Amino acid sequence: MAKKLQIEGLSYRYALGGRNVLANVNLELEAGEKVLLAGSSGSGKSTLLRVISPVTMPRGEISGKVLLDGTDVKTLSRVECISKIAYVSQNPETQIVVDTVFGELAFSCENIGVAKKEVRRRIAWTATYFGIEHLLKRRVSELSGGQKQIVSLAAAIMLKPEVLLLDEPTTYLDPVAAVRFLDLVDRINRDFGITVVVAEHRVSEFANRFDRVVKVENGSVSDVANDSAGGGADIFYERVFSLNDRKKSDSEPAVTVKNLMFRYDRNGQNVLDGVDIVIPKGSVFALLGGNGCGKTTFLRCLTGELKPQQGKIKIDGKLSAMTQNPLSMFIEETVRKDLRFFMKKKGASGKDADEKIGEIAKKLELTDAILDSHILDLSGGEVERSAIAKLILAGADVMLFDEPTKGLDLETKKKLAELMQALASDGITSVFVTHDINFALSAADCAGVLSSGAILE
Amino acid sequence: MHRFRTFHPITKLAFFAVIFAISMFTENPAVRVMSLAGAITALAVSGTPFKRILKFVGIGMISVLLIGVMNCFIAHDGKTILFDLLKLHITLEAFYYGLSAGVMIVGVAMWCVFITDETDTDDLVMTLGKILPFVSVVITVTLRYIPEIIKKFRETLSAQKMLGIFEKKGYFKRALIISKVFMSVTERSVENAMDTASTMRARGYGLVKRSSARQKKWRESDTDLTLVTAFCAAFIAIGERTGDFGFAYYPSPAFVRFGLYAIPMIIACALLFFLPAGQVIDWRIRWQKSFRLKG
Repeated sequence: MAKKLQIEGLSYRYALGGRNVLANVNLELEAGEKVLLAGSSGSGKSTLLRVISPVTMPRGEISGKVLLDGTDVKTLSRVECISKIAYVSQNPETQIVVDTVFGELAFSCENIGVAKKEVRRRIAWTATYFGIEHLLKRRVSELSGGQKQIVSLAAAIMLKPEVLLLDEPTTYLDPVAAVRFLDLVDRINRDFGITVVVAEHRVSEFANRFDRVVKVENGSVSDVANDSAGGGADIFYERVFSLNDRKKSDSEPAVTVKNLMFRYDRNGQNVLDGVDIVIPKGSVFALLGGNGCGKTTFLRCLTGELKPQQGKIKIDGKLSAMTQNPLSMFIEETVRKDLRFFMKKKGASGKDADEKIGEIAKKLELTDAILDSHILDLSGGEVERSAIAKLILAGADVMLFDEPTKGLDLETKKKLAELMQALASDGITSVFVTHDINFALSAADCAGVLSSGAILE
Repeated sequence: MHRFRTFHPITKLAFFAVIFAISMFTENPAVRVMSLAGAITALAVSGTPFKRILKFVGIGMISVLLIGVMNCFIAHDGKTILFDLLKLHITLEAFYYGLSAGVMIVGVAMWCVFITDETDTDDLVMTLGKILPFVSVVITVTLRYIPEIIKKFRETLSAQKMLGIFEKKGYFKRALIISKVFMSVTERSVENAMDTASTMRARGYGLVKRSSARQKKWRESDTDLTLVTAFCAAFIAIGERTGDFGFAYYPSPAFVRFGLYAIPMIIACALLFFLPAGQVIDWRIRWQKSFRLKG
């Protein structure tokens, strides 16, 4: 088969970086091949995807060659690069540019001056192919995360690319949406013979979908055997329910919920319909359930943000919560500044605050570099740990986490699970909502599934 | 059901420009009342919730009264003196003039509500897409980010509340935290905007002259509405020029002249002001008929 993409001796260093992120990378992809780039956070897989095309390359020093059908991509015009190599980033919030789905699909074609009639034809075809006809007139802000990612993919396909680069496209998706998204990628690859390269850290779940798995480690690549049994996430809920055998039933209850009922509209259906649950002190409780079943609503009722129409909630001690976006917990530039400001507002003196911050930082492995970096420069795992530090400083006895593993790699998830267990041994109760069954199994010691408005244990 | 929404943005722009011009520059109270009534009817038939209309009418009536009273303290002409305040005449005519001005302001405000309901950003982008593609992209990107920023602000504020940062009372302390939330959300939005800018470049923005796919087709109904608008506007302009429907508030409210042009002018005004409501009703009847035919 003909070589579609050849990467020869590629090295790359960011403009402000001290070391090569990619070092002498050699990789060949055949036309219509589907390759998974595996590797942990910071291994260089996102950088590798971005430096393939000159239009997506961040500022930095590059050496080596990238050939598309034997032609150096540097010699291609920018319009040719955009048309032939499509790139979809992991965060649809920054990938999507305009306000409506129709406008978003049209955007790239309009940019390179494709005639109006042709753009409309392509939109009609693409929307039908992706099954998003009904979304065309919708505002992007009204779409779910999964829908946004599908729109991003559809927008990338509008230019009929030959190579499709997807950077951790399922990071912000729940397992069902992730599988649906990857099914679409499979279809595109099969129907149009587009060469697909996907960077992912959920290797064990998705590897069986790919022709090849290439491991990126410390900036270099190597082929690895694709011997994944596949089958996706462990969907056997029995294992989740069996967690309750370990439930600390002799402990005092930290959270007691009785006959909780909540609905958003007077004439709507009950989202929570008689929830009864007792969560013992010092335990880690995982709440699972499908999309839109009311998991976040339940957490918002616990925090008091939503007022239930019926039922009782009793929390023993102080409660604090971490939303799906832990960045929203910080209002200062650095973690240290934020924690100091927070402690000051809680009435602690400067010396006291610094001592407490030091203690927590040590416990959560928050180095000085993390504490003093700009909050937007931290990785997902670092922000998560910093947010937990803030929760502990808030003096919480019960901590609520909404989808805490969103965007985290395996290693960070493991650390988070250990951290929750360590907090539990200090008597702090953690309640988290997740789609990630494997994480629930590793972190929790009791669990429930929210279904038809009730929590089943 | 929203017949008016389906018109071409230029047709709508021309129509509402005429509506605003007549409502604002005609002093005749009959025209102003018709404008207000037209706006309320249009809102009512186009599916605006009754409670919302009632709220608008309530606020509108209070505003009309307030403007009427305020004008008494600004203008002191008129022959019916109600009382004297600080050696200044408070007159009934000034009150009437204020009421009329209030009706005009509330009418224009109601039309603004109707326009907001009947137009969307696509109209703006479609109108500007061909002439000023750069401006059209700026608008559409801005419109994409406004709801995102509001969402982020609410999310961050709620996260701070959950951490108990608002436990200590005091307006100044609260204001300080809210301003910090605002600053941090702005900073994050700027960071996101930079990512978006690089995405835009990566998707070919600014490479060659843009085309525009978001353009609406000009239909026969657009020609019809534009002709009706132009015809009525010309008729009213001629009437204004001849002064046949002129009205004066001082020294006492009365028609300056009620000439030959007055009746057709009233008809032209009524036609324009009640046309949006009429369009919706006509559309509703056709819609119901189409169902009956199917049955």
